[in-house]
Amino acid sequence: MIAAELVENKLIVWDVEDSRTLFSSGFFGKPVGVSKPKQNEFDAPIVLDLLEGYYLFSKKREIQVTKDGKRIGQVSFLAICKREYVQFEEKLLVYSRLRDAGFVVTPGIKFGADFAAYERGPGIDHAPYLVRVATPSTKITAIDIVLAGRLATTVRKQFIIAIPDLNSNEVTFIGFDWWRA
Amino acid sequence: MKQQLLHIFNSPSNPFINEVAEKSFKAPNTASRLLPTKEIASSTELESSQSLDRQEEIEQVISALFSKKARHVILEKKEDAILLESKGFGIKEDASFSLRDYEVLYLMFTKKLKLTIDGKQVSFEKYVNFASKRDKDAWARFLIFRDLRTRGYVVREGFGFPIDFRVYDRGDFGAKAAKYIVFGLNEGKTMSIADLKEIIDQMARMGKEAVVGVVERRGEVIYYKVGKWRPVRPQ
Repeated sequence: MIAAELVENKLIVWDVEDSRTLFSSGFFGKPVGVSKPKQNEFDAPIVLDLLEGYYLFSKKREIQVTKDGKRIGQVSFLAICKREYVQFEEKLLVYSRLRDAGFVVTPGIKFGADFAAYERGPGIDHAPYLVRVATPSTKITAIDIVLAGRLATTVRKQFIIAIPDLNSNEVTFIGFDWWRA
Repeated sequence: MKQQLLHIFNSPSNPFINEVAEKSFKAPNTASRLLPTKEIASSTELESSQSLDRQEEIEQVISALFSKKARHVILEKKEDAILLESKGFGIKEDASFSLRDYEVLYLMFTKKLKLTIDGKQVSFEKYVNFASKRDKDAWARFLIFRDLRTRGYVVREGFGFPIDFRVYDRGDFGAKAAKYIVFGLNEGKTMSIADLKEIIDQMARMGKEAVVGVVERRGEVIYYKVGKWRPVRPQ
């Protein structure tokens, strides 16, 4: 079991060997200070965001989490995640669906989305799917639709809206494509 | 209202989702291809819509009058009705042939229709005002109808969502069912994700492709296909 320390709103895997293992098992985490890491060729601890951290902890059972030197359990870890990240459970459900389907899922914030989902991995795929999490009551405007379509056209991948349902544990994905008519 | 509509969708007796019923709209002739293939192939850019503008293949100006009884524009001459029907316009009911307001506006706009009410000719402007009074979305409907028609599609009445059309793929009218349903969304208005999902589900069940036509605030239309995506990673 790999040890990760919860520091505010992130997890740090201090052991570099463990860091390399996690990173090369599906691009989990980001080596500190390495902008474009290649598989195992880095010499730094990795930072896991709360979504991937919680996924590795509760679903994969690949890491154990400590805070202030003490191990913490699922209930208190979830409570911290929910406090630190808005709509954590909704986003976790979407993240888990994509990961379970075999995608490499990274933060999509630089594309203006919640997630970037790669078929093989960043630096390998040409472009990721861009996934934004919404709720059924989310109102979309004409501009939202044009942005979704434009963004997808620019990066040559689909823009996806994910609608998680925590009651049924299901996620509906809606894709947007510019239609040339 | 929405619930009622959805209920109608699900009803097996709904004539709209019945492909047999849809056939009854079909034109008597199959010459429905509006654009030569070469022109279709060249329509690769959004901006090319202007260059695609073309005249309707209707030689003469058709006379129509507004029926106060039916509250619709009707054609009197049978040969005009047959011509327009063959091009995907109008509704034939018993002995009469009427046009929807967006069809009237489009045909007036393209100067193919001379409309009279009480013996007086009505201008395009007048009819825009009239149509907008009885339907706040009349202008948006006209814009989308005109845009698609200009791009070579046959466009028919939709299923009763706020602004929607059945759109036949080029060359399909008279031969196949409508491939697309285009939903209009005006810039400045919103649509809930739940409604969008409902639309996509309905269209998927009917085997149609859902398209959102965004009408920007001066009237340009931009189209986006929307559909379910499954997170399946290629092996």
